[in-house]
Amino acid sequence: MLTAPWVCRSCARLRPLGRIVFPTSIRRASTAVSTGLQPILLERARKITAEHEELVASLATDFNSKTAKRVGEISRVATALKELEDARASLDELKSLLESEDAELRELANDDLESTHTQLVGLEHNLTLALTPKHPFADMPCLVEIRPGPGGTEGRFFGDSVFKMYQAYCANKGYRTRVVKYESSDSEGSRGSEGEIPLQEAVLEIQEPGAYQAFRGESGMHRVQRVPATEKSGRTHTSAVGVWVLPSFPENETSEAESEFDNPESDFYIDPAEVRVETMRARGAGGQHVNKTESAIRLTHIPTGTTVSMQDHRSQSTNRDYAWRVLRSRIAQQRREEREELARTLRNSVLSNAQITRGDKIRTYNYGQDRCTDHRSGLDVHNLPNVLVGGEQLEKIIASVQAWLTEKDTQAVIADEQAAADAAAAPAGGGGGGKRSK
Amino acid sequence: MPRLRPSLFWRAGQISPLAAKLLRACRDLPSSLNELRWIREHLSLSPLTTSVNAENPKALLRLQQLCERRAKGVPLQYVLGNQPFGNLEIKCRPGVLIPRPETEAYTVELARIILAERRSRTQPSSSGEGTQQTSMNVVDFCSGSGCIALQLYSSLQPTCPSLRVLGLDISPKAISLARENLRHNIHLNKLPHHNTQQSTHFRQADLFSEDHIEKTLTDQKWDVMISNPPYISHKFFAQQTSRSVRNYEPKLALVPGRHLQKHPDHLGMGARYNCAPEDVFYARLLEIAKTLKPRRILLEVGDEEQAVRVVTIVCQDAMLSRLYTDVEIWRDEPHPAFQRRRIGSSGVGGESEGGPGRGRQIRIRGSGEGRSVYLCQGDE
Ligand SMILES: C[S@@+](CC[C@H](N)C(=O)[O-])C[C@H]1O[C@@H](n2cnc3c(N)ncnc32)[C@H](O)[C@@H]1O
Repeated sequence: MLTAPWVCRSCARLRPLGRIVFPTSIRRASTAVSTGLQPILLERARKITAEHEELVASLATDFNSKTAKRVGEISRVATALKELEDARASLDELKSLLESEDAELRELANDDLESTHTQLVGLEHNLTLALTPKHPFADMPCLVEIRPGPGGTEGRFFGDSVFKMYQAYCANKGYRTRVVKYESSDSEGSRGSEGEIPLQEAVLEIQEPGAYQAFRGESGMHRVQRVPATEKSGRTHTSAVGVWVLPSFPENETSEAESEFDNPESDFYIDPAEVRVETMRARGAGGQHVNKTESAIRLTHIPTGTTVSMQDHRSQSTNRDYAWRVLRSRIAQQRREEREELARTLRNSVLSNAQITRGDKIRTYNYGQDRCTDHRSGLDVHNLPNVLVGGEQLEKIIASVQAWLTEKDTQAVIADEQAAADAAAAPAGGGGGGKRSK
Repeated sequence: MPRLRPSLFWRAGQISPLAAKLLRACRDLPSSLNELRWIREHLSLSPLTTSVNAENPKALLRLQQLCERRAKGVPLQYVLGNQPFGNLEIKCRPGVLIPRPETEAYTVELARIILAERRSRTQPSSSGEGTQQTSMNVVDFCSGSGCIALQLYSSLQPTCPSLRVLGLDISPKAISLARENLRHNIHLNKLPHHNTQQSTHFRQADLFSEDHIEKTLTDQKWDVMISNPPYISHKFFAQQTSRSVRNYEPKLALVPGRHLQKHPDHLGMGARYNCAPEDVFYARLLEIAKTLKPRRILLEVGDEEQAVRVVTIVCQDAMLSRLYTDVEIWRDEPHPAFQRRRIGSSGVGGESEGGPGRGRQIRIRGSGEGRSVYLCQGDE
């Protein structure tokens, strides 16, 4: 079941280009049994709701924009809890009606019971979502970087397929995109089994706000299994393509972006003195001596050794701007990952096992079996061609990963709550009480 | 020029016959593919050829034509008729030099420096000094397509309420193209319309004519003087320029004419300069600088050696060396400040003959080949 309807290309264009709505409740149908909310989450929701009430009351007497902001952030939880409690109350009512003397009334209550139950499950899910902190980059557009893994040309050909797949997917969904970089490798002039060009590196920008959240689950190694065009014996080869999703700054909000870029606290801040800028020119004299059309730029962020080169555009200033854009995005993502890593080490070890690290394969595209499998959500879809043209099958996979991500984030919240509760339960000053001491 | 391997043509042909064709001019596969894409993009911007595919034979024909011309060696900028420069689109036409990326890099950097200084001067004093109307006058000698003048105008215009930019060139073709570029970028909304306080003008003038220069420019104060003059020697023109430059771009724009040195009676000034023939424009420009005394001067040069020769002219001149205390050589990529390097205190040329540059601190900024000489007056 998909909550985001599939829209054809022409309709998509008519649709106002607003925020991306991504499915959040894919799993609902399959897990439509109320397992009851984790008590620890319910407790957290109650605490937040109490805080919400208190803050709302204080706002009435003395307005404070900071308080108002906090109220905005947590009102989602308060609302979700209220709805859940209302539903629980009506479920209790129905249950008591089942004891009624009146047969007709009992029947009515029985009829209602199932739908109320389903509703309850949905509301529990909503509350869990509301409690799960939003990813700090969630509302941003994103850059999708595609880089073939080490090894033969197959990976480079498949890199081209992956690039086209996301491009087509965005076109189908009506998302605005822009090719920031598309570099094919020099050494071969041949084509892949599907007519692909050997890709060196490509960067696709998806300009819609919220694209980061919608695509972040695509990060990781995508594995391809197929018979290369050059393979005479018909043996299937396995190669891989890395897909990395980075946050990118919305472009039209330039003043905001600029202040963000100048703010050393920001993830996107880069000290220009730490970047080496080079123009890459062919050997020999430049200036008036030659009229080359290329104006390649290479940036090196010295502290991290991150380099970005850009030569796709005729305009030097565009190459420059895009190179900076990509560099900022990569650095911001690195900083974020470092913090996430730190947070993980503080959490229970059970969870860190579920963590996908950079080198892990997340998905397999198997041509011979006409199959695409996501190794995290466990979803298998057939009709590989539809996946590769960014069709409904790809949407299904992406949605399953979103659900998986949400679940993982929820588990992290539970783990954090558990750790906090343990720490609180531990005798003050002593370290022996809780499972782990802070 | 080394011959390209046939296998390269074959590989390009596997991707597209047009890419193979472009190889003859581009010399490598990535450039051919890039240029092919740019030609397609260019066509897609014109209403008649928006989609370049089998359903549009007209567009396909046009694509063939453009690739054919490019393959013959015609510079892509002449084939497509323009070149991006900073945030502008500069029209290009045979007879006028194509703007270079190195020129773009230092022009943008100069604008950045000027704006940074203006900002630091206006910020601290909220009353008095900061709010005072400071006008900004910029002169671009040898303006060609107008790229430098127009880009400076574009960058400075938002922060300089009173701004005059003047471009001068001897070539009528260049002047009319520069004027067209001004109109074109206003039309594209990349430049604002003129108003009484802000304007850019182009005028035909011979740099070596006192009537054209000293007699007409001295009635106002000039803040910035910039020039990308012809600087290639006859020898280097034959040996170091690419074929597409030699065959298609105007020699007038690249090589200082022999007459400027050989004929002492040429406008009465030719023999005055005791310098290499390819440096004669710098000698003249620095002579003009002594009259106009602009706060900043930026001159493009062909390589680091020529940069050193220009610096030497400055150091040898009592007035110039007193006026311009800040002397820098900028490389192709001038920006990163941390790459500034101090050449020993013996200064440029000092080592070999204990020469005239002794004791001057010359800073060299950035990476790449020496590309321009920057002079700035000290604060009074
Ligand atoms: C290297 S081009 C520079 C054009 C442009 N400023 C640029 O950067 O692309 C040199 C220009 O100097 C002009 N020129 C040559 N001799 C001149 C002279 N005696 N007086 C003024 N301009 C001259 C040429 O017409 C040519 O446009």
